[in-house]
Amino acid sequence: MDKNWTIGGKTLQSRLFIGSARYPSPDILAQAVKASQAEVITVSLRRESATAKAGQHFWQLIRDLGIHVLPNTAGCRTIGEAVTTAEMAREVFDTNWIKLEVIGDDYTLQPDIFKLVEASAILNDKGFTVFPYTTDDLVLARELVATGCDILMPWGAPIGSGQGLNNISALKTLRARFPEIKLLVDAGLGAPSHAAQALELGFDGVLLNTAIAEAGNPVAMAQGFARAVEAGFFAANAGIMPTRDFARPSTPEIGTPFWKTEKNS
Amino acid sequence: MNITINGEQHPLPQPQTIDQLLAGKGFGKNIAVALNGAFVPRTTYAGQVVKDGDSIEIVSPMQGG
Repeated sequence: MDKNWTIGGKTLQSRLFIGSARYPSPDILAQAVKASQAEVITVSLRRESATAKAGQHFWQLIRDLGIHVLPNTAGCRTIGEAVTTAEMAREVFDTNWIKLEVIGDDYTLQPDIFKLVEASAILNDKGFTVFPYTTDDLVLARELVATGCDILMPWGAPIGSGQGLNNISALKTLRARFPEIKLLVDAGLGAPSHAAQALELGFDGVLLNTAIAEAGNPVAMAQGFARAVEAGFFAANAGIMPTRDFARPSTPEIGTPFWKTEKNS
Repeated sequence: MNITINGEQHPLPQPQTIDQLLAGKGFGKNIAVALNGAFVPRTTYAGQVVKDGDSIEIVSPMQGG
């Protein structure tokens, strides 16, 4: 099966986007990214200290991985902050890709959907490829597409919660209504089965961080997610059988020895 | 005169270009700059003057999800 696919003008094989935060060490981060087979890694921006220069070591490590970077606007709460952060990220990371986060609630880290749509419009106009971190709301998705997005990243569950796909029905609706849009579940995944499920629903990929970084063994968990994403992708392409209310024997009945020779139940 | 760099107050004897400010403070490569909330492209550092009361953000790569 051809595993190549295109998103934001780049051809990839892996369906897994991986985050770069919260790993026990930079070395484990590098090992986990390789084990995940991810070809896209998310990164962010911080205030630079002229003396510490912590960002330089991190950036060297990421560049050495040789995969695409997807900068985010994490922590932004206003349209202005998000747009300025995106512009700074474009220059530092030398990419038009931006994971657009505009947070509206500190407790749930729920996106501020109104500001998200406005920021998305501005960034699309400025030539960015916008990966909006959004909810699973259909009308919001339509608004984001109207601003020029051909990628949407609805949440599965709140960021870092590990709950998996909390609203499968809404995610299915998005898939059905936006067949041409690249859909990735971003946030809330905890176990490889959650990632497999997202791909089985026909999603194009998943983006996750904490589920790998905070696993007991991040490198082993990265391998688990790599396989789960592939399993879900193969299943979606193969076509999953419909569910039934009652049993149907999997072994053919014709020619079965002793078939119906004894009366039972 | 005083300016704010990454949220901290810094005295500045006289207005400087962003180029001069970055060099003077020892900032290196792989950074980006915003002045009073607006992005400043690298190519314009030499022409942008930081004045009394300005707020400048200087950022570099970090981990993110």
